[in-house]
Amino acid sequence: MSAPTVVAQGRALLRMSVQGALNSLHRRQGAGAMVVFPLLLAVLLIELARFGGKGADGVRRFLAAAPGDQGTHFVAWWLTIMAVAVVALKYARAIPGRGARPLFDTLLFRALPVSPVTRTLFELLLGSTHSAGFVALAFAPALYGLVTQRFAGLPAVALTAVMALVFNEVATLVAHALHALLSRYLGGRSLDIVRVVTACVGFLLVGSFSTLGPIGVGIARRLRVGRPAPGWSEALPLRGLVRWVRFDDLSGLVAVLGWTAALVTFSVAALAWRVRSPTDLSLDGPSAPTGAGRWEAGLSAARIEWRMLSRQAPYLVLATPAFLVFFFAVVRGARPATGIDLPFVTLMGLIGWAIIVQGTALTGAASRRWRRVLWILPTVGRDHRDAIRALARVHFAMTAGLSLGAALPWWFLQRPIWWWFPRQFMGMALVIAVGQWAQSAALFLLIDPSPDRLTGLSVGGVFGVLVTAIPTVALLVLLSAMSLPAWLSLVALLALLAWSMESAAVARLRWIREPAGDPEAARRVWPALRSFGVAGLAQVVVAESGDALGASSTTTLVLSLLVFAGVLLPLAARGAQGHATVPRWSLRRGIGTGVLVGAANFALVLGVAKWVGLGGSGASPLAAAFTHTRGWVLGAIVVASTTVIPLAEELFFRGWLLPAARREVGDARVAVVLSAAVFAMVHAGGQWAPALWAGLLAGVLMQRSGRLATSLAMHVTNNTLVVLAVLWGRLT
Amino acid sequence: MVEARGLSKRFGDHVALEGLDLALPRGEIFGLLGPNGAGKSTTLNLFMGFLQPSAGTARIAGLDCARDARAVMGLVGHLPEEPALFENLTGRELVSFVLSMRGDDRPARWSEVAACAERLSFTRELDQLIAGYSMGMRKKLALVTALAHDPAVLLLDEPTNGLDPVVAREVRAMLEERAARGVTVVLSTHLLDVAQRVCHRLGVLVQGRLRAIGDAGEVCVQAGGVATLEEAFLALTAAG
Repeated sequence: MSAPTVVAQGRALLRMSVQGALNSLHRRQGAGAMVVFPLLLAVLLIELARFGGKGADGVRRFLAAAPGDQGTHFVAWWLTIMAVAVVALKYARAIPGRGARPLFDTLLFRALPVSPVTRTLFELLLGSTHSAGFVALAFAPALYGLVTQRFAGLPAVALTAVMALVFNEVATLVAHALHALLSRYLGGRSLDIVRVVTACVGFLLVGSFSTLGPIGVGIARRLRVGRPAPGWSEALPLRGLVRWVRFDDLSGLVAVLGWTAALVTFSVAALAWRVRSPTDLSLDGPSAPTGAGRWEAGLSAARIEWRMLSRQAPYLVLATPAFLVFFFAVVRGARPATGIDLPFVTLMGLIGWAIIVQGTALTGAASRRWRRVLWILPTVGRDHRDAIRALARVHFAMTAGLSLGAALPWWFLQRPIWWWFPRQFMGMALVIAVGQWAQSAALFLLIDPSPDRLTGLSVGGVFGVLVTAIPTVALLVLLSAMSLPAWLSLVALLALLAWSMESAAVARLRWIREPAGDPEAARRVWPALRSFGVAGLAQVVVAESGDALGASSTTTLVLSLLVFAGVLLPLAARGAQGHATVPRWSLRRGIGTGVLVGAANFALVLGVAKWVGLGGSGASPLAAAFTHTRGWVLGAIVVASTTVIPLAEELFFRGWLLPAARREVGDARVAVVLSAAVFAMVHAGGQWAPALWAGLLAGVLMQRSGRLATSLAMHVTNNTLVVLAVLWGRLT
Repeated sequence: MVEARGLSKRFGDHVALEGLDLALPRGEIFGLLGPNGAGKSTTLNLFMGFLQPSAGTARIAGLDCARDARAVMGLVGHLPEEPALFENLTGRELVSFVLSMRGDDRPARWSEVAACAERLSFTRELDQLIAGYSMGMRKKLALVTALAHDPAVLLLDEPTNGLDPVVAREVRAMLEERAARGVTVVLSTHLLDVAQRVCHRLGVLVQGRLRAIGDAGEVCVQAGGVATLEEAFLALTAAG
């Protein structure tokens, strides 16, 4: 056996990490991610071309241009950094644990014949990748501002990256050295405290640097060092601090104090609360003890849950006043003297981002654990209802607080500055916070610790959809603000929607891995209607958010419909699975009949409408939107109303609700009428009569043929003809 | 092939292993028995060079395990008790990574990996993501990676824990075949029947000291002339 060379081992390490990154993207997050990331990249490239031009010269011009001058350009620049950061983090996370270090600590790796030099080299290399993502997210804007005092364009970007990496590595090394030093003097007994102290020191180091960066800029300007780059230095995130260094006014000082107070409070809170329970530092969630009784399993999970939540809440509570001081100080300090509000706006963006990160980290961690608590729902007896509800309340309160935290600055911002960038950015924060809130509200309302599997299943689906669909919508708002070509927006829309739906499906799959509980429970009407209500709730949330963000009513309508269909689709698909019917017709006969009936129905409804004197389907808001829109919104309506929406509706109304009603009522005719009635209610607003008729037809077709394909073919045909008629009407 | 002289390890005041003397020839399967915390895993970790001995030496193929750890690792296949694997890889990608890191990614190795996976009823799972593996599947994959480079020495911590009886029997058979080809196997286990069935010699560790060594009969004699290995184990543990 030949001895492995450093080069060969390095190649193996790199190949493994890239493979892991791709797997992480593709297999764990779903194929949708493979579409979305390149798409985001395309968006950025287009922005780049718009501001810089094509080729290397374009890139140079893009980098050399003052980002502060152009709002859109700034967004693209910021997005570029975010995208690079996300890719880097993804890459690094593909290696188990956070960053590269844990990889080298596994017994599997330690048992390989690797020399200490190779090990150190690759530890640094792979660790730096993780750092790159982290520092790009955290310090890049401040550092870039600092660097542009002397350099411009590409050298500034390169130098920023190098400085950030070096800083991060040094900070990590210092933290490690401190850890080693303290462990040596304190011994094994106090290792927990040592870990906490080290973490806090690292946190302070990292946090203070993002403050020191802008201060450095101020000092540089004061000393007249280097060539100030116009534009961007004005756009520094913490301009209040810069002006403090220039002794313009005292508000910057207050800002610095506020920021420092925030960091110290955070660290002290972390320290105090972690040391109180030093033996339980692991943030891993509970797992249901195997073999334990229902009561014991539920109770132990609840106890662990409560302990974790109560340990996290103080971070937020204690840090909030400090953040508020900071926020108001900077608002007061930055506004009066600035004609252009870009620095302020950027600052708001950063604060919003911090709130988002903080909020999602807390609630994200909480919901992950929640999911595990919910995992054991089927094993929890009814007696346990109170414990579960108490936990739901805690989660609910936490996320409500976060929503408020995100909503307040947004509300304040509306008055003095009504510029599109803060609207979109803070809007995004708001939407995500509302999403989190809706998620916990859904949890709170839907939790029923009975052996009803379907409750659990619905919750799983809602989780997946809300967690992914809401940020997706927020992203879309951002995309639409970037004035992209219509086709690209449409592709982006569909890809993002597909991604969120796929994630929802994955979330659902995780729920159904367990053997089914009571099969009868999945076949009742109430769970079906409840899932439908959840989809409606998601739609309302999106519609309200769209209105609040000032999106056009048509755009909001289309987005809310898509989200509705996206939420309903996976839920209904699962529900329909519980009602496998015996087909009576062949597939060809089913589809053929469906198409024919659909076409006949279209002609009939059109004829009746003309005879009665109504303008066809023109009375419904969707059709109105249809008639007056163009570009990507029109494309989205066309695609959605002929594919996604009929599919979701058929799966739900004919695939789930109808057979569930038939089982419960015992009469197929009543079930057909019931499902058609609900179908008509959904299409209220000028369309209820044709919808009731179409619902009855589809129900009968489904009953006769025993195939969902029949009613689906009818629905698609009908909708397609309506769409074509409207388009024809527009043309003529 | 595997040798320990006065091998000792202390963690602060705690004595994990005290004066272990051992000499295992090629082709021997040696079982380390003992209650929890007796020093079995410490012994294996000393042989792997993960730990530095407080006194004495551990040698494999004449190489000092602490000083020539890298060379030793080239010769050894190691199975930790709770294998931490790289979750984002598939089983096959992990095996490929381990083989590449060992500088031996030849097709001959892969045919052996395939045969090994086949015997462990693991072929289909080899192309699935490790993140979705059960405990038993993780154990199987760790076994495959430990055996893949055809090591001269195997250090296995609880090799049959978490495996179903059929696969466990297959693992025992594989160990016996390798021993017949000259591979020295050290395995630590709690399962006395496994130890008795597969091991040529046994060593009983209690509180870091080797209380008895020899084949099952000899261990029984050393334990005070008891009839079964279980009684011997209980007697030795109680005496300790």
